Amino acid sequence: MMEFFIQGVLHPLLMPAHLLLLLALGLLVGQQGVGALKPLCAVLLLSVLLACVSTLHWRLRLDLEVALLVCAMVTGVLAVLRLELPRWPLILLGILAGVLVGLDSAAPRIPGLRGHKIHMLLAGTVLSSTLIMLICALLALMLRHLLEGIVIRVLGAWIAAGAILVLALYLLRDRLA
Amino acid sequence: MMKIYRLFCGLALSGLLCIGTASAGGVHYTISASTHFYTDQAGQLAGMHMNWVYDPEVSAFILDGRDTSAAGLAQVAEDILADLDELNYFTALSIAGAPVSLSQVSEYSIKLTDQQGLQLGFQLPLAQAVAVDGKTFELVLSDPDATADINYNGVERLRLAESLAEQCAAPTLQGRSVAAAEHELTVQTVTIACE
Repeated sequence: MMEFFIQGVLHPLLMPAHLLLLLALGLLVGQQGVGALKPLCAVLLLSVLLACVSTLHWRLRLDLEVALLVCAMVTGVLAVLRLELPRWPLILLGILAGVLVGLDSAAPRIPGLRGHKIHMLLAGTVLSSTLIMLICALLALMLRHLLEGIVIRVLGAWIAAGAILVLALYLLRDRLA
Repeated sequence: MMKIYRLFCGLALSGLLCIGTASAGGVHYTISASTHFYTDQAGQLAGMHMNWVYDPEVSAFILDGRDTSAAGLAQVAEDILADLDELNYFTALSIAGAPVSLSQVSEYSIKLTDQQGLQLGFQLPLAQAVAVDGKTFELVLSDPDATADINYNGVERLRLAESLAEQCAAPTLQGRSVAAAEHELTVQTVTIACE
């Protein structure tokens, strides 16, 4: 049973688009200050959880990779711009990120698999997604005044550039193959 | 100097991301299949006897926490077949290009191989027996979620009932690569042409 939980924990770490989006969101939330941290954590946790649970009942046969990467890029750019954002766009961004990560983490449908194995896998994904964002946000919170916030802006630029690179590779994969 | 550093960092990041993309993936497993096409007394195609051997890793997943006695395995088989029923048994059969409906499985067997892989045998009847003379029929086994990679290891894994073997050419097997969300898998098409 623990194997399934660990596999779920590793899932966002092994998916570049998920990782970029969660890191970008963490940077942006940390940059906004401690007041944004609590609601965003709760919103992300809930939205990933609900999206993951929804995949148990119905599943979208959509490729969400592009949406995840575009969302990561926009979030990274917002961190670069270092705007003081009102709470609601941040919350909307948190919901969008959580839903995208959750829907793209659909549990594998293996005929005959019973018990709570799939639930453990999804629980691992929900926990790890929230923790990645939280740890990144806490680090960003500590670094947000360092060199007048330039460190976070540089990291945000790297994430946006990384998202654009992966997006370009993803969209050109057929031509490159 | 700064430009070289940036270029290096950019290349390292994109390299890491490419490796990540290539190695990323959820749960995937393989099923090694063999099929026997059987007929009714009139010599019409009546169904297929499938024999699927699951890889040991996914077998361990399925059996984790389950009773592996004969009765326990029978329950596992029932669970697998109940789920497979919703997924049309991963099976698409067409005769002369027209899809053929399948019936529910009622006969099955299950055991563990020496490599601890689940071996599931089941009889998959057609909803209605079909005459195949002068027609070509095709069978494709594939998982719509691309989690399972179902493959025949060779044409020797396909057998025809005696009456079919007399009027049909030997089965041919063609594989095509399908890019799934996170990986690539091979979907095979079995083609049998009958006179």
